[in-house]
Amino acid sequence: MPFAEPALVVATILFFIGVTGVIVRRNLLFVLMSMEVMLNAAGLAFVAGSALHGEPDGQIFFLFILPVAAAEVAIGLALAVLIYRKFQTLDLWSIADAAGE
Amino acid sequence: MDTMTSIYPSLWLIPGLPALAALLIFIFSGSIRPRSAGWIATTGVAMSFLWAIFSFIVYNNATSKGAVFFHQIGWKWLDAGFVQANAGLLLDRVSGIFALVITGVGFLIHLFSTSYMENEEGQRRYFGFLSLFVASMLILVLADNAFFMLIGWEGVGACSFALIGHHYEKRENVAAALKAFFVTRFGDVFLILGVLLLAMIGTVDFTRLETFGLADLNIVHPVFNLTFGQLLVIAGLLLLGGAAGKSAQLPLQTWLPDAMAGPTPVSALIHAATMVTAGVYLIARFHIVFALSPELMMVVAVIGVLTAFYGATCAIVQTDIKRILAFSTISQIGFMMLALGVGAFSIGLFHFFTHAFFKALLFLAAGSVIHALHGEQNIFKMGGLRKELPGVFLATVAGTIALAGIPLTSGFFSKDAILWSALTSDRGNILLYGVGLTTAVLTAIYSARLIYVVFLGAPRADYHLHAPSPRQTWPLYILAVFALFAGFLNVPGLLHWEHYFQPHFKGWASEPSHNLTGEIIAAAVSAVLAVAGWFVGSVLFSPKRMVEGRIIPEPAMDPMAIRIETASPYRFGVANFLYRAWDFDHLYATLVTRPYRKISKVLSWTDEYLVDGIYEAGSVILQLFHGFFVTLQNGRVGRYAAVMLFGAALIALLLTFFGSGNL
Repeated sequence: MPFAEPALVVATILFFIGVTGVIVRRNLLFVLMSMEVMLNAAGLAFVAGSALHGEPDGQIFFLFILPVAAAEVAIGLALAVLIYRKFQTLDLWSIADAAGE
Repeated sequence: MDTMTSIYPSLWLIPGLPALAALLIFIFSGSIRPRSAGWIATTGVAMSFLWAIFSFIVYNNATSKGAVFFHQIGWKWLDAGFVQANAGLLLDRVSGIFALVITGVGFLIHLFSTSYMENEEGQRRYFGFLSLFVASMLILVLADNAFFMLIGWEGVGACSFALIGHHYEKRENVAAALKAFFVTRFGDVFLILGVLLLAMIGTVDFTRLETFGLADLNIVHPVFNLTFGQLLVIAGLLLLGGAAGKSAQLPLQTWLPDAMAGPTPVSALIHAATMVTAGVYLIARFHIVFALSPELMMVVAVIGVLTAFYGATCAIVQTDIKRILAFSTISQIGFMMLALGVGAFSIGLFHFFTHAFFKALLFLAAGSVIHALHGEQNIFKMGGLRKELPGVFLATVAGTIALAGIPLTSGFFSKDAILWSALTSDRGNILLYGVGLTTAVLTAIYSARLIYVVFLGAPRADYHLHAPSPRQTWPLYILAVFALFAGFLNVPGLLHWEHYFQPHFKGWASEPSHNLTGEIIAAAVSAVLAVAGWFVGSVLFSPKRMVEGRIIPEPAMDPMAIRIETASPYRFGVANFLYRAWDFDHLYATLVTRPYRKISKVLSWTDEYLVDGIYEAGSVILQLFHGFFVTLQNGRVGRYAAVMLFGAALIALLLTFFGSGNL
């Protein structure tokens, strides 16, 4: 399959974009979004891998990942709402400082 | 002796009553009025005095039936190798006389204090310590062994520190208290070593000191590799060090003039009854140790006579009424040491006895004068007080003529007996006698100076007198009677003091010659010289000369305005040298105090930078670790994620390159 290897490269790039976002972002929403990017990068890698090997396992696995991602987003957003109610902000650094005192 | 235990009066009441008074004052100091503290203390000492008289009478009745001493053992106190001691009390002739003087004079001083301290701050503290002072001194003289005696010895030191520094708001007073404490402590170190050495080679149980006299002085001691005789000399010198510290003898005398910082009755107590006579007691108590070595006795006599001379020369130029008396005490204690050193132990104690009265009297009179003049202590700002304070004047005259040794006063009898012993006992010699006689003349001169400058002539300041109350004057009158007539206790045939102490000192005392003509000639010489000295003093310091301001009488400038260490109020170098007490303070400051301060500065630098540096370096390392672990736990979620990522990457890398093959 001619798209498989470029797709893996794209997945890697996407994954590191996500990682960078998780590490450097201060806002909880952006961190959650970056995690979604990482998850989808993993999903893309599964699909590309399955295409490369000509086997369906990877695609089936991605079908499992999708609901996991959805559930994770639900929980993550719920957490974000609760945190905002409690601290009146979504800035992770100031929340950490406030909790540490 | 010990068979009579059941009928002893309990000796514990003698030190116990003042101690109880002190305890009551300290415990209830919050709830009693300051005046009551004075009365509690006075009652305690008065009862102790009565009990001491009673015990002494019972004891003297028992001695006629063969008892040597009353001995009461409280309990076994120390039991550690050669350190064996009971908490026990012993009443014999020596401790009996001391206990009577301490409680008797102490009572009068307490009574005087109730009036003197009436409007002062800290009365409860004052009276608490005053009673404790008396109680400590009673423990000191009544203890039955040297270890228990040390309790009283240290108690006296601690109480004197508290009382000299009574007005601690002033820095000089605190310095004086510390000086008294440190200098006497310096002597105490020698005393403790001496007591330990004696306990090691023999005993310090006062009832068994006789055993030293039976021992063979040439036996070599296995531990020290010295003969027994040499060890006794060392022990005697150590004891003498302790005695010199407490009794303000050369070279440890510097604290006593400064101890004047305390309230005047405290000075009276320190000088007459408690504290400075402890050294005399110590040597009288260990007379066997001293008498066994002629050299040691000579050291005691020489120190005594030199101190006597030193004190008299300093007293003659002092301007502070209390410092005059302080130097005269140093001088008179020197006379006592001289008597002990020439083997006339009973005469030394006799001088202690007479001195207690006239010195307490002089201090209390000085206190009355200072009190009446609202704190003025410079004698050149007094003058003409004879008309203003007639009672105090008469009492002071009685005290000074006794101090000067004018014939038929108590001081004449005791001082003449000392000089006679210094001349004729087999330990004495003409040199000791000569210096002693010179000192006696000087004593008469400064005694006359005190009377003429303070009480005679015209007033040299505007007085707003504060008349002394009866509680101040009556103790003076009582003491004056004793100061004048106590000397008759040592008249052969009447009440013979020396004869009374005969059984105590037995063969150890050196008898002066009993050549009657010689004795009468010597007495006449002392009498003539004392009167002549008084006359010289009265001419030198006559009110007329004072007005004209000739020769030494008056300092050229106000001595109180200058620092004592470099003070030079007189126009004559010698007078200034004497005024600064032979520059001893300066010498000790150069030899001890300043080098000590320099060394302590260096040591404090080492401590601050070297010792502290090591520990601070340790703490810096710990802080670095701490900082590292804190950054791992700072709540920055992003950083946790980064750590996880790099950790996972590292594991992946390791597995890739070093893993066991198929992943």
